[in-house]
Amino acid sequence: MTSALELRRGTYRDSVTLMQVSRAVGAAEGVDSAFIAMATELNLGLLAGMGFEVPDGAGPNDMVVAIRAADGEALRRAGQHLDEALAAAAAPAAAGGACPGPVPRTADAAPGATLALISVAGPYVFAEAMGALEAGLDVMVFSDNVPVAHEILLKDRARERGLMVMGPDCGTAVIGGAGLGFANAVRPGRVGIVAASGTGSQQLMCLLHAGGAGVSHCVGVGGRDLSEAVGARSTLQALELLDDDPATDLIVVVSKPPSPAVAQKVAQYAAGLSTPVLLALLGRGQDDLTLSAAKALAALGEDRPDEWPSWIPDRPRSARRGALRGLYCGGTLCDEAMVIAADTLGPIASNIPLEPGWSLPADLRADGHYMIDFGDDGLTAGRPHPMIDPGLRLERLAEVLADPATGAVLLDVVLGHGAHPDPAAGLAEVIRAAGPEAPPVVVSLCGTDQDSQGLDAQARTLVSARAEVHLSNASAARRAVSLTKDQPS
Amino acid sequence: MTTAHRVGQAQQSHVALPGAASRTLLPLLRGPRIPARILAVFPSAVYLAAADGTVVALLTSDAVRLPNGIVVAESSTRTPFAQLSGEAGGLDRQAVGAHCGGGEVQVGPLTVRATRWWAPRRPRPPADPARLRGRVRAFGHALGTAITGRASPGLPAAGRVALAELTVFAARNNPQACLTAAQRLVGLGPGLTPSGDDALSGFLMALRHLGNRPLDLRLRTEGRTPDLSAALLEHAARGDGCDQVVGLLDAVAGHTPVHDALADLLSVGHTSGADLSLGVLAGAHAVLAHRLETTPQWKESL
Amino acid sequence: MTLSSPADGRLLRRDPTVATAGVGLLADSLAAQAVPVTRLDWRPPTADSTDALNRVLADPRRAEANRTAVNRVLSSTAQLVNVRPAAEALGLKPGQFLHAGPPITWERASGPMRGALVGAMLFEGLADTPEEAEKRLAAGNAELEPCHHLGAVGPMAGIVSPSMWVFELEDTAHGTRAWCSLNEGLGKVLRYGAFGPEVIERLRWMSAVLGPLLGSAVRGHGPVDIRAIIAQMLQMGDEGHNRNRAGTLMLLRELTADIIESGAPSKDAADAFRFIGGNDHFFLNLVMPACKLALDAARGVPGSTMVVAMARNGTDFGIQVSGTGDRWFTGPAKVPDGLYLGSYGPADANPDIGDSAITETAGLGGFAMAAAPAIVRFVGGRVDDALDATRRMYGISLAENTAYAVPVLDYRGTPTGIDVTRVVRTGVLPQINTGIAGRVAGTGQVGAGLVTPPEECFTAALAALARKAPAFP
Repeated sequence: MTSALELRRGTYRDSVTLMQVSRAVGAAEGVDSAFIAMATELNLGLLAGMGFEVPDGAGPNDMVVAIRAADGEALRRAGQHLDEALAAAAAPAAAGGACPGPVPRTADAAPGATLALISVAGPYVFAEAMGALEAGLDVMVFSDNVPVAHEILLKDRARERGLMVMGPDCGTAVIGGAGLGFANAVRPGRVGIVAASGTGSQQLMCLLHAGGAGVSHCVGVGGRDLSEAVGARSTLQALELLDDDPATDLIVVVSKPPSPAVAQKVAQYAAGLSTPVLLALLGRGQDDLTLSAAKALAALGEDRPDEWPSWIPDRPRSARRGALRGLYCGGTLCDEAMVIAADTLGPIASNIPLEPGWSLPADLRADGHYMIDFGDDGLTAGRPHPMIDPGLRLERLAEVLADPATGAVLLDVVLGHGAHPDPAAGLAEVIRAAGPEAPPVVVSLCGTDQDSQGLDAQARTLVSARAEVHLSNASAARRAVSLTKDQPS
Repeated sequence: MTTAHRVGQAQQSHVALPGAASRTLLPLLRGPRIPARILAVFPSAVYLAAADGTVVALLTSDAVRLPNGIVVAESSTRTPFAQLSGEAGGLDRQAVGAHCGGGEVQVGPLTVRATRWWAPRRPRPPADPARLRGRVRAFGHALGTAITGRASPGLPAAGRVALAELTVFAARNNPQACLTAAQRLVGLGPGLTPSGDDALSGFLMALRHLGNRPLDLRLRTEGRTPDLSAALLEHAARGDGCDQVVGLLDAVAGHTPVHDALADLLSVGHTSGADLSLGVLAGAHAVLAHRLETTPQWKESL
Repeated sequence: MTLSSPADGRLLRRDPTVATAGVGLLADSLAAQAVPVTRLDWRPPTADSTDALNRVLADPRRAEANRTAVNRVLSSTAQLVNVRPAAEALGLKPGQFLHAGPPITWERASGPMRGALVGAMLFEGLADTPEEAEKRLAAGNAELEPCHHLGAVGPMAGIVSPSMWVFELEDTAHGTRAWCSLNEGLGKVLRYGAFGPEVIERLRWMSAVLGPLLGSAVRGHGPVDIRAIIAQMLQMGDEGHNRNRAGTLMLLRELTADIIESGAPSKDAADAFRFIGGNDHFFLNLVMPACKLALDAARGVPGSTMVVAMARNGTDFGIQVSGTGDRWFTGPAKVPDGLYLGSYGPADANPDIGDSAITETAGLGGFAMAAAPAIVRFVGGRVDDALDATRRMYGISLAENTAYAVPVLDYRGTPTGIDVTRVVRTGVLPQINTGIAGRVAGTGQVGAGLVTPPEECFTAALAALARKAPAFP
């Protein structure tokens, strides 16, 4: 039998708590008796009655701990129980009472939060993201216009803490099946995606889903992550996370054209991982997303579909002479379509041109082939993204359809979480209203059968207006190009 | 008549919530709407058995996430299942209709629609198999300390004997003897998930994830254990368990601190966490012993 | 396995529970997917603070500096070791007066501050009439210095003159001392700016009888652990600023035997018991120096954004911050919002005054309002308002003081250590419980209520912190 007596000065707990603590400690195996109490006169008397020597100078503001146990090991365990029980008595309850309290203003005050999704204006992002990181939350920054110095610092601080900053300018992520920002509903599966491009990863996920595969996670990294300055900070981290994820058997990195040096760094890093990595880095001479999706399916051993889903009207509009006009919501989809079109048609003017000389003028009008990205910063200032508010693009669509110089129109429609609840309806109405003589319309429809808008229903609405619909953006672009190319100009 | 009247009233206050469903429920929920039977109602969970035999756990966000779960965003303090229990706190199971399929689970006035799918989490394989023995020993020590403290397992002595035998036979690769020992654990103990089943689940999970040795036992559960427990045993045999048991296996495999993961698991249920832990420890010992094949060293750690 | 390895990242290993700041649609979409979501009540900081805020938040010293400051606050102790004259304890000379708040001159002093100075002149025998006192003060014949500059604190006007007796407290962990005057009670009292004959007479009795009596009692008793009493009073319905009833009784209980044994005439002892027992605020003057000790320990940590003093002189509200030394950041003191005694109304109220906001700075008073539901009725609210006040303060605080547990919040520690960056980020200002002094000198107390500091104290402090922070990389 061994015993211990300790005086903890200035440690106050109420008597009810201490009686409970005494009981918990006393119940531990090998503990003969335990007495934890404030050193009041009464309690000191009890202590003496137990055969303990009353410590010098003990007063009612001091806590006295007296334990008698079978051996030193039991005594040590009892000490552990004591600390646990005292901590538990002081710990905040997981969920408060009936009164929910004031609405929190910062992420660290949100009950149970694991991730902060920030979409406040760019200059304010840093403070909110930093606050969230310091509270141990992962961060997704939907906002753009965040200074690159802020991005770099946030990503470095996150890494030090074992946390992830997705973004800034991160439109899409899927974590544990939850779509953050703009994301399609896809089945859980074996492909992990690192996304430096929002719509690019949406296209990839939709094609994988159509091919029968599923997605483990899609980790967004932000549109600027593969730039020289940011140096793939988040991409490398995301690769490491996915490599470590037991559910991920294949990783695909999706990005708009990256800095070549950074792309090489990513390729090198990827080569050292135990999980195979497929790089889908867009650009001229590179694989398009559809080809990347096919390669991913092949790598998984899934049957690659002979043909990607498409919906063709019974009486398609007839092709006619004129220029190709692309009206896009998704920047990466627009990029991809331009790369494909430029191979055949030559220069494509745009507000996000492939080559500096191919810029559209400020009024976004030109005689030749052009494509407009309505989701570009320049066109979203002061209004919602076109995936949410289609108004601006609908106006332009009506104009393009009425323009005798238009040979064919290429559109994208993006479904999924965050997107407009019925984007096809408005487009179909405008296309139908353009009359039977209007040029042919080809739609790249990015969605899945699990999206709330319904992939098939959206496609049918568009087909009913005699538009041609393709799940693959590359297929849609090629089809639109062929409709333009085949006509003598 | 009174009952019908009450149900009629309840249906007027119909509630529809989105739910995040385990992909193990895909076949059931993607299929046509079929009737289901209510097994139990708690503040944080409603358990159902669909007519095709699939057991579904309708869970609040703070409930233990089971591999057959469909989880709503609300926590049990917001009591989304409150209206399922009657005034006396009990549920008139005959009077409340339940269905599964067509993308949703419906229980009386509550409909939960699957708007998101998740895959039950899996532990990572052992980081360094050579060091597994040391990790398992540390885990065993931590569990011993915890069990002598507050978290006592519900597994009765007979169950411990059966678990020890199961460990020996699994190490010796004797499936027939394994089945006999495992069968003695099935349904052993009180409650919706008897202690014997919990221990067996932990054992099967450990065997699969620490040793990559799935054990196909073809257990007989019909009529021997509650439907929920039988369903969870099947999931465990396929390698799926609650997040906490997965977390413990991930820790024993060398990826996170065992102490924290064990504490998380021990907080599950009344005795479930402790019983699952005992099973995981036994399974881990079987894996180590099998690796050594004939070396008798492992016996001392039993 | 190091904690900094990104492979430890939990992003993919925990089902997301999301806090959203900004576009509501993104939160809607998550809710539709059964993701638990908290929509934050986010609001932008003032335009001219954004850059300073970012720069201070990027300061690599900040996190560690604040941890250091918090640890010092939490590890401080407060033992009442003596009661003696201010002349002796603080070295005050005739004609020197300490006052509450940041520095102030007679010209800018408010009614109650002037009234208290007049009273102190009469008490010290430096003038025979109020008129004479006023004339001498206006002529610059007195030296004014903030209490805070000498390690002292004073409630309301906070006037300390050489003949007044002060409590002396010691922080044994940091080897520092702090002082505070003895509380005179409520109503017509010097600290509220009253200077009538009954005020001066009471002060004389306090110096002649009460002070010496308490001094020998404390010395006889040995150090009294004030923090332990504070911890207990929070569990008995006090918040340590506007309600000190339980604290006062516990102090009295602690010292009773020693007062009796001090050898003083029983009449004096009885008077002392009557005086302390009849003044529910007596213990405030011990809570304040205990808080002062805790916060002084956290002073001068480079990079720390923790507020170490909030104090008002009736004209200006001033704060001091750990990372910016002894500099005051001031703005005009506001008039408290509250309930008034008798026929007094808001027009009679003086702007906020006193060093007692040191209690809020240390996580008591308004920050511990949830511990004192009885007080909210006094300031015109419901019990939920008390809970909300404390809950709101967690949002601008760096830590929770588990030694000061609030029963109704499941024994959560009080929010402790005001963070300048959080105040500016959230726009939530510290909640202060306070008495209200009459605007006109000589009036005394007119009410009690709630008040907040002017926001510019915090934006100015943030700008100063930003200037000391390294440039954004």
